[in-house]
Amino acid sequence: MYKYILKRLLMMIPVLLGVTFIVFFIMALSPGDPAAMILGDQASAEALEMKREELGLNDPILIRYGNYIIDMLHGDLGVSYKNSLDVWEQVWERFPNTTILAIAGILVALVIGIPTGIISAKKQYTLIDNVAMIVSLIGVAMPNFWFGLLVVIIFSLHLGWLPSQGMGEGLVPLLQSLVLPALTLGTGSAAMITRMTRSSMLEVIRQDYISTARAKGLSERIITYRHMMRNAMIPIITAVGLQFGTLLGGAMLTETVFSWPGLGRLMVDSIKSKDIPLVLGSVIFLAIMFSVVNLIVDIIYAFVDPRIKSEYKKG
Amino acid sequence: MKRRKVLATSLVLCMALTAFGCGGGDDTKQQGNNDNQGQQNGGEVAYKDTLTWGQGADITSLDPHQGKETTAVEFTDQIFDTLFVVDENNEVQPLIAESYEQTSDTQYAVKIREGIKFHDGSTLTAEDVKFSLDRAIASASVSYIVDFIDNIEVVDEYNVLINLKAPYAPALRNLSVPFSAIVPKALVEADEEAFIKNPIGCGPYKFVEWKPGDSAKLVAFEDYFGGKAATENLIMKVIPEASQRTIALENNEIDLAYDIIPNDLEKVAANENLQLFDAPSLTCYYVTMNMNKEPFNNQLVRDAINYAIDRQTIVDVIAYGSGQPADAIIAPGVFGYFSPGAYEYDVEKAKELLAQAGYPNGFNTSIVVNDNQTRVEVCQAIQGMLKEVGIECSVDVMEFGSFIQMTTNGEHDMAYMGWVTSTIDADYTYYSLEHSSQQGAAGNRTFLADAEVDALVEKGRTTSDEEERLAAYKELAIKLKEINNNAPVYYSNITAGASSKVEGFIMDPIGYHKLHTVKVAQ
Repeated sequence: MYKYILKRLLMMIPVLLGVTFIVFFIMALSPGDPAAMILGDQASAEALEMKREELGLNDPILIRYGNYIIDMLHGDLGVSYKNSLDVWEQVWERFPNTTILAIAGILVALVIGIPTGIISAKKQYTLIDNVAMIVSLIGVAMPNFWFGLLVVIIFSLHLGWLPSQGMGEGLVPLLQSLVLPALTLGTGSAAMITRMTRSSMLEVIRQDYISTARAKGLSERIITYRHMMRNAMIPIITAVGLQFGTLLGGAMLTETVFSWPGLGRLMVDSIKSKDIPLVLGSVIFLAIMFSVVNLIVDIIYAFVDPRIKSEYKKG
Repeated sequence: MKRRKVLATSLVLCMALTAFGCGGGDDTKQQGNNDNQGQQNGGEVAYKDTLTWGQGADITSLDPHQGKETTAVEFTDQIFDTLFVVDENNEVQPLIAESYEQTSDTQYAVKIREGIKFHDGSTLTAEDVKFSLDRAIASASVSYIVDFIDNIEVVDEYNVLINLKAPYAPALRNLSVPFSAIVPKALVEADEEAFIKNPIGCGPYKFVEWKPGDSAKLVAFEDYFGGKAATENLIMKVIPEASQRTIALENNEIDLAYDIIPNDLEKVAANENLQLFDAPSLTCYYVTMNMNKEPFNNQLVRDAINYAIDRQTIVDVIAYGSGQPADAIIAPGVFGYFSPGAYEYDVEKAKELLAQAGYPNGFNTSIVVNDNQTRVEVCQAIQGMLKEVGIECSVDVMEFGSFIQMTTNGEHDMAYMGWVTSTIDADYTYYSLEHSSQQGAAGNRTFLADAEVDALVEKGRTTSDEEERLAAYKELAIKLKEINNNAPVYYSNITAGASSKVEGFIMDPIGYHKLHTVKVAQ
């Protein structure tokens, strides 16, 4: 098991190098001069030249990439073109905010998605199932941006229950400010998890061992939780893991609507201003997070399914 | 059993989240009032000790010689002061300077106010002034505002001589722009990085903290030389989504919201708990025509395009009336503005001019614009208007960096641009946009090279006498309307919304709002 984890961690190195290579060259070769982006349309030619020199943009692209990799291996992700602040510090500062939102979002998604999926599967083709499937279809299709504004109008503006934006300081204000963005973020994921849970459960429901369990006279509750759920869990865990990884990458639209100071907004702002070090820093961080979440998901498989655990042992 | 517990815990957590939400209703509504215990003045109106404002983007840098974006200055302008300031009557007044004298065409003797304290308790002296201006000159970001200075001589502790490279009439106005802020020499020299993270100035507010992407805080400086600020604490919140800023204002989460979008203007004006500030800015939006390219090298074509644009409709429909049609490249609030007469909208006249120019059936062209929604909408409107006179114009939307690069290199036919006269002096715009030495990156993207225009721009720039300057700019405005190298479209308004309890807020036409006089009633 440990060997497997170590192997997976080592595999992250080529992934990260690949990511930096692709992002660096896309950013550097796309049209638009970062110096002009920073200085705006009122800068003189001399000022632009000064800025390019200051940012090292006059060096050949391969040398710039080489320097970046060498610095990165020394743990230095550089400073932002825009505000001269340390990239790592900026990314690290935003990470807890994004994590809080992602955890809250995934909790909402799990609490809504899994029970609805199970009920839907068990009551297949009934009214409940049809309603649940239609609602989840709407959930998947509904833009976060629109839903976010909708809940703000209802819960903040009309009812005055919750703050419309920002991240509160202190436990209670924080939880208050978390409800609407988590709901917005969780609804989309919940819909996906509902559909995944339903289809995965339906596959299991028809298996012979379920009929055997029923024939043994086990209670429906035990059949559902011990026999159906456990076997249906693998695809659900995969879906939840992927959703969580995506949420950790920052939910740009939700963060923008709710003025949530997370990674998604940082990344989009830095792409817009062609702040190459900040884009690279955020993407590297995101790639690490995604790899780690995937690894954790794989480890969870082992706990859920003993067959996989024995495979890991062999490997 | 265990699994049931996990499920139950999740449910409880979810319910708790919802319960906090519901139960916290009153707290939320009062969030703006929570942390303040305004002083009760013998039964008179009590004021809150915290003012919260929302702005659309984060601070880019706390260093006044780096962060030149309006969203940075909106914050740093509370921390730093400049030698001079332009008052609401558009007159230059001394601020850190106590007095000044123009000793020659190229020299100003400035006496600095004695006893001004920086936030760390040190005293502001002539050395700090020299250091700060030298630092601004060396900064790629802001040097353009102070690069008229040749050198600064320190005469004694409170006197400096500012030597100019050449006679430069708007010198004092440039020294009023926040990018020429005075910073403490000793502190910056000792640890520049620490200064950038924890800026120290001599302005009305001291820096407390900045949470990037979220908020920033300031507290009133007791020893401010202009008297302590009216409100003890200031909080800036970043609210990127414009409609959310309005909602936060309606919801009492903030006291002041900058840049209300045209869409929300009516809503704010109609709300009796809010007040709307909507006043002319110093920004002009215009279509720049590349005179190095055909057919824009033809005077008649440029005239035709000016006749083809219905400016009033653009203001009414796209800006929701928050602006006015432009008749010159600088706005009426700028020193040196002269109206050479409004542009007429006349489709027949435009067609006639095109026929005279040899294009009776129009021609195909394009207009480039950066990816800003309002700007793109204006271009689409112009596209429709040009079609009326037979010109087929495509709208090419580009990301800002590419847009600047393309127009700097003169690869465009037409480009839609905006220009703010940051110094509130005509020279800033006329020199950059019309002088032949400024072609390309510096601003002249029509590539105009006209000896008469150059001479008038230089006259306005170098003559000290205000009347003579105004006369030169009048002649220049008339001349430019004849050349029509640019088609000024409209002057935008600057907007802000505030709670009706906000008192003393004066909107700055550039957007650098000073908040030390603002109070919020309980």
